[in-house]
Amino acid sequence: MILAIETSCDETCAAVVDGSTVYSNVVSSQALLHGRFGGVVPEIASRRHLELVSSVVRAALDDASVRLADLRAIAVTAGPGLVGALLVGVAAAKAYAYAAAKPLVAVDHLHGHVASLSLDEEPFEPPFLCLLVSGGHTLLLDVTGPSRFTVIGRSLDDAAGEAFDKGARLLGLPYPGGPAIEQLAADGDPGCVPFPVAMAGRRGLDFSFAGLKTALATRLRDQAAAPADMAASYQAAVVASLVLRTEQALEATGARRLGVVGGVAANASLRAALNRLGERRGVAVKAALPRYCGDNAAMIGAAAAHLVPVEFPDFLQIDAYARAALGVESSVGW
Amino acid sequence: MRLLALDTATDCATAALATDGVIVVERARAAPGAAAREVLALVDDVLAAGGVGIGDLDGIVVGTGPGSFTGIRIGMATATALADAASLPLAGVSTLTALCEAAPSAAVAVIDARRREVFAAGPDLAAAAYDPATLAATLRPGTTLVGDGAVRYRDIFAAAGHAIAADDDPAHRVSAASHLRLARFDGAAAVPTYLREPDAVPREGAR
Ligand SMILES: [Zn+2]
Repeated sequence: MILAIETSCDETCAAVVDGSTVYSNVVSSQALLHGRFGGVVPEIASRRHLELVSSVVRAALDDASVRLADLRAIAVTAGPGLVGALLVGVAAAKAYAYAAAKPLVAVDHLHGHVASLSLDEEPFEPPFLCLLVSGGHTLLLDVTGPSRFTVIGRSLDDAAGEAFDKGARLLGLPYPGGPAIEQLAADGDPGCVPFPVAMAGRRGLDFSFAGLKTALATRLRDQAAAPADMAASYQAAVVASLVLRTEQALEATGARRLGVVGGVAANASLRAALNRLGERRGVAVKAALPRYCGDNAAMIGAAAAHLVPVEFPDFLQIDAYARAALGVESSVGW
Repeated sequence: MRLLALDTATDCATAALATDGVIVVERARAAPGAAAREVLALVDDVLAAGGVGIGDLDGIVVGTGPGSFTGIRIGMATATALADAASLPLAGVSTLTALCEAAPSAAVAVIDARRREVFAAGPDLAAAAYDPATLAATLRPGTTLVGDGAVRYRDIFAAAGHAIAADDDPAHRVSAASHLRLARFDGAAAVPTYLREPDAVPREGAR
């Protein structure tokens, strides 16, 4: 069993995981705290992580009826993310590992999202193409092994989740924007207001969402559409752009299987659109279970199962990092 | 009664071990911007030097700042997790109070707060962030100042007639031994002392 800790953004998380079995998964969201700022404030997030981290860890151990002594290792997200936030989890994880005389596993947050696909009764094993869509990332990954993947496409500006947050702001909806837009869009007509499909004419597998936000601002000013129709049309435009690039990536890689992970993967219209894409192309599509889409520590524990634990004192060298590790990121110019 | 103390709020991380009120060992490491990351190695050093393990302790004391926000958090996250893992009580001590404890009586503790400010506290001075010149003018002339903030703004403070020991005087460094002498295990939670609000502006019309 592994105790995993995740504090890369605005969720303080801890989980106890053994392979694909999740014994506990505690997520303390700060969304309400950051809502009045319209986005995550790093210093506020870091302060909150410190207030919560040990009680979240304690809750994860208690929920699983596990003692530190029973663990094989402790895992923690080292990056990418907000460094000040990550450092709280890394410091706590090192101290737990030291006090309990357990090895430590440093996990890449993106690897964690990919590994969320294995937290299921029917785990989805590599190789597959993975669409990772969240508030911080929009990536197409060529996943070749349980801890090996290459970035083949990414957003050049906003992440898909940010596109929802910024769109929600323009629509007068609260943060986080994805669930708010999805809720409002449920009663709207996605074909009511035409939007361009971002990057449709551009080569490569990269995404761009900044233009959609501008298009929404213009349409809100110039067109008298009902808010639900506007939200549904905007959501459809974000989804269309994700589906377009995903289809091009399937074509480019010849992948027969597609995984979908990250907070935005919980969006029902995206899931439906990708399922339709899979049916059309004869590709098996698997989205992470909704409870493992948003940031959580269970996925970090799942990723850690495939990494080598580091013993004391070597694990003292583990440090938090803000950006995706070199070697993991490499863009292929299709 | 064995107690471990640590403080990482300033550029000098410190850890110390006491047995029955006697300081057994103290270790410190100075590294601008990076000292806090050394804290667990320091903890291991002092425990090894004292010949004890985490499980032999009766309590942990942590410096709660003010100082570097990240430094405070690394130290407090470390101390909180150690205490939780070993089922030990945790006590917090203000980093400014600890600086005063080791200094001559009536000294004012001054910690560099960046952005041309200092965090300061003393016998008749409430802990807060101050502009160095304003602080210099507020204090009674001839006041003794200790801490990295006193060193950094030595010119301003000296010009106002205050006394500051040489740059390398140990009085300017936070010592975890002070925390061990000041700690009270009265059940009060250890709470970080930031003394400055995060930079964030609520969006208009936010709920
Ligand atoms: Zn994430």
